[in-house]
Amino acid sequence: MSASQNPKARSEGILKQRTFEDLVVVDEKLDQAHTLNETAAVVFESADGSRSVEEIVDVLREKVNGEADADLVELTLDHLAGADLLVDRGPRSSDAQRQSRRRFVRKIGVMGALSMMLPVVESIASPTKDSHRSPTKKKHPKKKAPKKKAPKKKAPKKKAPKKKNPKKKTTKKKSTKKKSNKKK
Amino acid sequence: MNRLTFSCYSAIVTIEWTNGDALHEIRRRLPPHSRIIDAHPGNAHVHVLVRPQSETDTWCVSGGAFPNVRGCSVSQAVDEVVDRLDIAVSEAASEYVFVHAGAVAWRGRGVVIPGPSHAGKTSLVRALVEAGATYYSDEFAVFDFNGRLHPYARPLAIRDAEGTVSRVTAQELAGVTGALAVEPGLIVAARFVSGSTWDPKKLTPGQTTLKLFENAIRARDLAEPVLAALAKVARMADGVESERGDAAETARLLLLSVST
Repeated sequence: MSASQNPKARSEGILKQRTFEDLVVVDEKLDQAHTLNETAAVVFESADGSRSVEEIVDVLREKVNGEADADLVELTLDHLAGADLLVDRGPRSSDAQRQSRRRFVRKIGVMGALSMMLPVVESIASPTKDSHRSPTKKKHPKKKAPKKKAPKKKAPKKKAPKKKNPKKKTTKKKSTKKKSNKKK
Repeated sequence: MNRLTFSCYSAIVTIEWTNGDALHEIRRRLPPHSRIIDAHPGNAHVHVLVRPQSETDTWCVSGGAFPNVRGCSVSQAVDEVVDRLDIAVSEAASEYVFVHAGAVAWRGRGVVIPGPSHAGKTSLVRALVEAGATYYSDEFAVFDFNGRLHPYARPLAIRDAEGTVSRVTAQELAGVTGALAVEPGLIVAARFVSGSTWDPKKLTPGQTTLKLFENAIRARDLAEPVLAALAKVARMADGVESERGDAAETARLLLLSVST
């Protein structure tokens, strides 16, 4: 794999915060927030575009578990790509994903403890600026001001017959939609 | 123009209204832990203004987080201003992180229930207070940047079946209101589902951080410091998640889990 094909995590508009082994990632561009377990966090932080999948396997073996392999890294990259956290990479084909998963699950069958290493990426939509404002804000009934009678204007002497404009705009109040907080 | 300026959790808010009696009423209903101060209005973070509307005997309330509201009677305008003050404080308090959450303390540790409005926070907080926990808030968990939980103890907003809200103090529930900052001990992501039972699943610190961040007031414009503060909270506290049914039973089990 050439360096240009090496997996690369997004860094622009990305905030990261460690909480023990988890990594919380806030994507300010896409208004999402994610929590990555240890496996996902190590792969995310190792995927800097300079390391190949095989080199990321080495980092994962060193930092998490000596039994990590390319299938686990590819699975993790699929999760990260699904969360829009990689540059120029979408999830692989479902066939390729299934094969990696099968091979890794077979390995888990042999060494049960490896199941703890499966990548977990949980995502939510970041709260919008208005999302905490009460959606049931009461409206006060408006007391209408008495209408002033406008002085009648003199009609111009020569006037073309009025056409009704079907596209006449009515002024509507903008509704403030509340963005859902949860994203599955 | 009469003016009232107060500070609360490092936020400075000014209210201006020609009606001195109405301002007096607002003064009675300021956010908890507010202190009247003598500050130049230019130093205020938030400015709430109540103006008369021409040719009617009504008022227009502007400033703060919500759009202008017109056509208010005096009492409606007072309510409107009071409604704005909590959000104004939560948005302007630069030295604290406000999270939409219920909060109590139990045996010196904070129990925080993050969730949006109408998620059942107040019912659970009420049940916790009735079970002996110290009341901190039914609206905001206030954290400093060391992760400690501070009280924001407005009287609980209890809704009846028709949706009418009445304000009840912790003392009226035979409870106690907290005054001191405490370390958070438990973060509870509870979702009310009628008839369900409390069956908590432990959250990782990352998941706990996300539950808090999702409900943090300034998560959007101050993401970095807010995230750092909430990660500290998640490192100090356990996080659990479950559907919940009856509030009293859930409260009993929650307090039991903090004790053990």
